[in-house]
Amino acid sequence: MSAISGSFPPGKGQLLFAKSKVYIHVTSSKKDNVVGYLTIIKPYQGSPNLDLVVAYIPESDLEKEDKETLDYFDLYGLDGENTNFYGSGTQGSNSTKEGLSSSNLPQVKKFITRPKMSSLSSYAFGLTIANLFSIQVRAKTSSLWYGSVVLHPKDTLEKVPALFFHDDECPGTIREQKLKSESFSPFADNFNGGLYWGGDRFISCLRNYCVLEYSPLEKNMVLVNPTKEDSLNFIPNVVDSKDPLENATQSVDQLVTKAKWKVLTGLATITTFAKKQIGHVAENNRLPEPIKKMLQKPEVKLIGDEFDSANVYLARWALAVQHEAEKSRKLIIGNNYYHQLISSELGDNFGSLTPVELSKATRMKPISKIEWDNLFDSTGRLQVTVEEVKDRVFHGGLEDPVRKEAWLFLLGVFSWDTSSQEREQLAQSLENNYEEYNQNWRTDMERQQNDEFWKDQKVRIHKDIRRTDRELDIFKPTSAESDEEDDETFGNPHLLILRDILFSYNELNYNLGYVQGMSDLLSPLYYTIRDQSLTFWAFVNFMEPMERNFVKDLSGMKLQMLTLNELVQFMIPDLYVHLEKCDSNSLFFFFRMLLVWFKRELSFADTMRLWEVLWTNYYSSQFVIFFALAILEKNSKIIINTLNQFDQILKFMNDLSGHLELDDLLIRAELLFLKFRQMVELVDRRNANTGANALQESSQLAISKELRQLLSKDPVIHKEEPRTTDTPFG
Amino acid sequence: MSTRKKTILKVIILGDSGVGKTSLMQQFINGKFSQQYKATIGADFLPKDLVIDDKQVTMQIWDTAGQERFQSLGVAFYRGSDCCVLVYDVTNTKSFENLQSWRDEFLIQANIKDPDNFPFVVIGNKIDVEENKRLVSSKKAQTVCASLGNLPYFETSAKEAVNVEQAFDVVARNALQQEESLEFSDDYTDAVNIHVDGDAYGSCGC
Repeated sequence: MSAISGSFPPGKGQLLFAKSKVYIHVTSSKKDNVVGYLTIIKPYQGSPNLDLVVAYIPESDLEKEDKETLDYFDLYGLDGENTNFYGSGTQGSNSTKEGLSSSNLPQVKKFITRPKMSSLSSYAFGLTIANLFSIQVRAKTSSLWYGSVVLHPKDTLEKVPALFFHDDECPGTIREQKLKSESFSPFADNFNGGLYWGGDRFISCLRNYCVLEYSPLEKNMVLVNPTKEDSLNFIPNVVDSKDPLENATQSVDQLVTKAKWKVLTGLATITTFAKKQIGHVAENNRLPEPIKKMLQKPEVKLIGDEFDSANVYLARWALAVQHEAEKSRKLIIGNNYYHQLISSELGDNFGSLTPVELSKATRMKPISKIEWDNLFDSTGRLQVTVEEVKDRVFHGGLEDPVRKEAWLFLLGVFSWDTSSQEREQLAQSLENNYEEYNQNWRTDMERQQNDEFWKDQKVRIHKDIRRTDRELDIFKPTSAESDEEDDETFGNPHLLILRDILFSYNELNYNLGYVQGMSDLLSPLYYTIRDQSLTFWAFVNFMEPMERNFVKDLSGMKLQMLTLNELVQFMIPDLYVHLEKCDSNSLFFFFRMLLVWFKRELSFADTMRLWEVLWTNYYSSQFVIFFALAILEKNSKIIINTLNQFDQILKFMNDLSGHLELDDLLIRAELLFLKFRQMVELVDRRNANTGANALQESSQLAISKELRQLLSKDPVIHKEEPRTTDTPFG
Repeated sequence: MSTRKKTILKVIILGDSGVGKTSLMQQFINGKFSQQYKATIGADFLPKDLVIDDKQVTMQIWDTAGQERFQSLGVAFYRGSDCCVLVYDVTNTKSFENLQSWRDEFLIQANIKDPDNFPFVVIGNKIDVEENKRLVSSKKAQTVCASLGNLPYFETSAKEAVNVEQAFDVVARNALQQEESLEFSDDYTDAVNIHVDGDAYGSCGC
């Protein structure tokens, strides 16, 4: 581009802009501040504008010669010791946003050592203009002593710290301020009418090399070389309005959903470095108007009510926005949505899923009573295959009136090949069997009075029943309910039934006994089946695979957590790396979720839907782990971009309660399972092909026992050890 | 004041199942009591911003499951605690007798270097019950707390919001003191290693 001939010294780049005394506020303590130069550098002769580098160079990285060059440039710019800076028309109001013509080419050529693009030992960084997505500009105001800019790279995984312009120390800015006060014309670029500060010069200079657009949606956000799509998405169509910003705030919902998600996550992207400043913004109530408006919406407010740190707050905000954005996209793109979503989320590998598999990856309508009844012939025998029913339940779930009967099949109380008459008979004998267990504990007065373990169990069961799903109508407290925990007057007769079932289970599975969480597993069964002995047997069968969640040494839970851990490494490695950094790769925020199958995180209705899907063992008896994986996959960008510490991640995950979208997650879980299966097959095939010779190499790719187990539909059974008399309680 | 500067106090609540740990936390943080709390599984975590003697702090309260078997999860939760609240139910003798084992378990799991000086606060909850249902007397509780190392002792009702503020005020103060003493002795390692590098680099000047 350069019209002026002249060679680049080896290893050097040409300075186009330099500002001294630009700081990184590493901590809130002044002594930790890093001081350096913000520069724009042309790395090679003839570099196109897109290759120009915006570089931050700490003073401590600089040789004396380069430092002198930078100081000169800071003070005088491209024009040398003339009054004009950088040749940009600072005196005229005709300066346009489109950038400048070639008549304003550099007049003074200065070179410094080509800056580092990144550094492990210092805070130096560089970004090409091509890699710049947006710039967050926080101008100096009367309350913000130092203005700052945050550069957002296109690659959202890259993060760079906020840069603070210490104008009072910067000779170049001081000179400019002096010049400005001598001239009557206001600086064209300082259009906000605010105080003149160092960042104004940076933006106006950068504008010589790229297109910068301020967004009316986020007035502090400058988009760099926005594509048509970016502009359309980010800059709403407000042709008729005189004040775009005001209009924007009126239709904030619409705008937020229109806004490109990337931009919004960019906004929420904060680094340890910038955290402090973001906190500042939040505290000073300086959030952009549309965001403030959105935060006032009751549902968003509910989410945002109790934030503790800027990161968690922003992560939630990002989540709320994502939620909104996705909802609307779903409407627009319809059936293609999931395809597009997953191919963008999971990369090109997704393309290799077969169309048949893909077509299954949509949710169907739940099975209605009519549809269910039609599955059976006149004698009440199933007239389709079990696999067909399970397929249907897995992909659609059941309508409420179907559940009672269907759950008894799914949980194996009734076998699929029985007639209705056989089932009636079976129910009768099951009732008799149940009564035996029920009478067992009732009549054993000796134990009731003297067995410490038993007494302990009793107190625990009574306590937990009093706090299980009491918001549901059938479990609502009645006036007769006593406050006392071991009192048998529950008032509500349904509680008494839950109690009896748990006591009876305690008889049947003496080794395991009652463990906290079991009442959560029982409640939906009783709510649906509403028959004491049938509920009991459904519960007994449900507990078969769930027993491993409750064994005393927690080994069953630990194994599942480990499996999930390996699965995340296998499927979402970049997230895993981040979690590891945050000390969170134990993933134990999933403990509760896996223990009681998301009962605490989902609504009661959604819990029932999830469970019936899981009970089919359609793909895997451990599909619940893929559901957990889907939650991570869905939130991985937010986690990587905004959460840096263990407790932040724990809180974020805990706070997902009540905000999980079941159907969306089920679809993701299914596609993740299919992708997983495909990857395992791929690895197996490769291992088989490489043969025994390459065993060592291929062993790196071997699929662990835990991961392979995920492909099995057979439930994992892990029983509690026999209880001895000296087994401690609990 | 920046969030970065804000001190974070980590407080962990331990005690037998059903003594009212969740209720105490909810009463303190939200000023509410509900009959409908669910049994805690794993751990929950709630923050509260406080001002202690003009100092802004964020208290992170970690509510844990009471059933013993879930305690082996504790290690990760206990780490970095600034204060531990031990709760028992004044109508439940066993929950009182278990206080000491909760304390010992905590000290081991959290790997407390100086157990004698680590701040504990003991809370006897549910004093709203009728007098005849109360099974642990104030006097007895005070004696035991004294013997455990002069632990501060409060009697509360999470249900009727009696003494909850006062108890947590002491929790916060003691936690702050602990945090400050730690900050003084410990090198606070940052999550991002580059800081350490950068600092070293920056301080050598040029």
